[in-house]
Amino acid sequence: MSDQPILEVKELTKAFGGILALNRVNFHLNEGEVLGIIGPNGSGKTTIVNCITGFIRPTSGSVFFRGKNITGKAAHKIADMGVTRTFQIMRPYYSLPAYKNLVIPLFSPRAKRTGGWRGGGKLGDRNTVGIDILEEIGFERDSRVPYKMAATLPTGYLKRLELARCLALKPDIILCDEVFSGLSASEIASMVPLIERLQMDGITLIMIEHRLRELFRVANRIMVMNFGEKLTEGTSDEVMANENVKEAYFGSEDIEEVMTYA
Amino acid sequence: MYPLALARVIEATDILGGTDGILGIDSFPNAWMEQYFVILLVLLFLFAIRRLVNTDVGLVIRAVKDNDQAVRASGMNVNFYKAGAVFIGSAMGCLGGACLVHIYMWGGISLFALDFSILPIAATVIGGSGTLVGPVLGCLILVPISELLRDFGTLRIVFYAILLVCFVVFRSEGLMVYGERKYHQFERWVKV
Repeated sequence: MSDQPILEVKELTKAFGGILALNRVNFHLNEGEVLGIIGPNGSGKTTIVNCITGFIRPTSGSVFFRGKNITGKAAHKIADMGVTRTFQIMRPYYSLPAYKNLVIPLFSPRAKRTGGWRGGGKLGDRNTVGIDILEEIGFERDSRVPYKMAATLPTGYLKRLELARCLALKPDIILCDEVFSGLSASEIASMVPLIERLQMDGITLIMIEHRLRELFRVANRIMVMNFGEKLTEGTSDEVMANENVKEAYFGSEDIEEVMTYA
Repeated sequence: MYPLALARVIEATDILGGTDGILGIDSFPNAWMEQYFVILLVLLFLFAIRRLVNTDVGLVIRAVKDNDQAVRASGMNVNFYKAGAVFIGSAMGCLGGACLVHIYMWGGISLFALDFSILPIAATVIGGSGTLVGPVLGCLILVPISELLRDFGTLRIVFYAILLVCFVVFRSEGLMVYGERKYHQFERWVKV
């Protein structure tokens, strides 16, 4: 690949009425890297995801995917190009069993083209492929978890199901909106290797997180948001050393002390 | 919304027989046909839709009902599937309307007045939306009750309305959904 970034966001601005949720945000994403986006509540992290994936139309600015302008395109077209997302509040199809949840993305034009995750251009039986994806993402096949109704699954599985829905499309980029939040420490401990494996498989990830310790383990680069503006960007150490970040996140408190709670 | 607008258009432009409606339509050849053909059609449609919702396309349509944002995030055009579902539904509705007009041997605006047009929606509310048998069950309950209440004359609409309100208040999910829920709870029932 060339050194052209896979995703480039230029001067992205979104105003909800008089409130600037995003104010001229610029960043880029290189192929195969994990970019972590952190920031206090209401700093526009999810709005970035919504703008990139076409769920809301940005007021101004543009998003380029592999050099192609995808600003303001319909959400399903952007997903069809390979930019997928998870939802912060999980959105499974509650009335369907877990593996049937994956039959729906596997029915999409992109999955038919690519054959789904691990499918070499050819899509097999959708139910089987769905169960295979679920097993890979951590649904124990022998305990029949994939066959349970999504409404009965606990949060940890639903977060995995969100990721699995993205994987079914064989995505180039996954925008993870807080996949760690709401999980117990042991659940997160099992999610981290999963994220690392996705990266090894060549998927580019944007991770929005509040769980800093786990995020710093997986992310190559961190971007900090505050009040819709990009504060800084860099490796985790650089970001944590930044005075502005400390102030935005922790007020004037001692960072070491707060990190123990993070 | 559009049916209401269409009625005004028909009144204004005098097409399709204007306010008089279309007269002199042939009836079914015999009473037997009139009865059983319609029942057969209902069963056929039930079977066809049951087949449809269990295919992968049907799964997508159910998913749109469950959560259209997730379907969009899966790279599928929600509007396409919504339009398709409306198309299938209205195709069946059109055939039903055609049968109705042949039974009445007349078709006009006042046939499809509000108290009649509300029936499919009311049947769905009573039977349970999102289920297959629900609306049929709702019709089987509503239409006989509506006929029984004819003895009350103009009070009929009052009793009818009270019944509907009761259903909305006490069984707003619909009979079928309620029944399904109870059925799934059955194995865990404990006598108290």
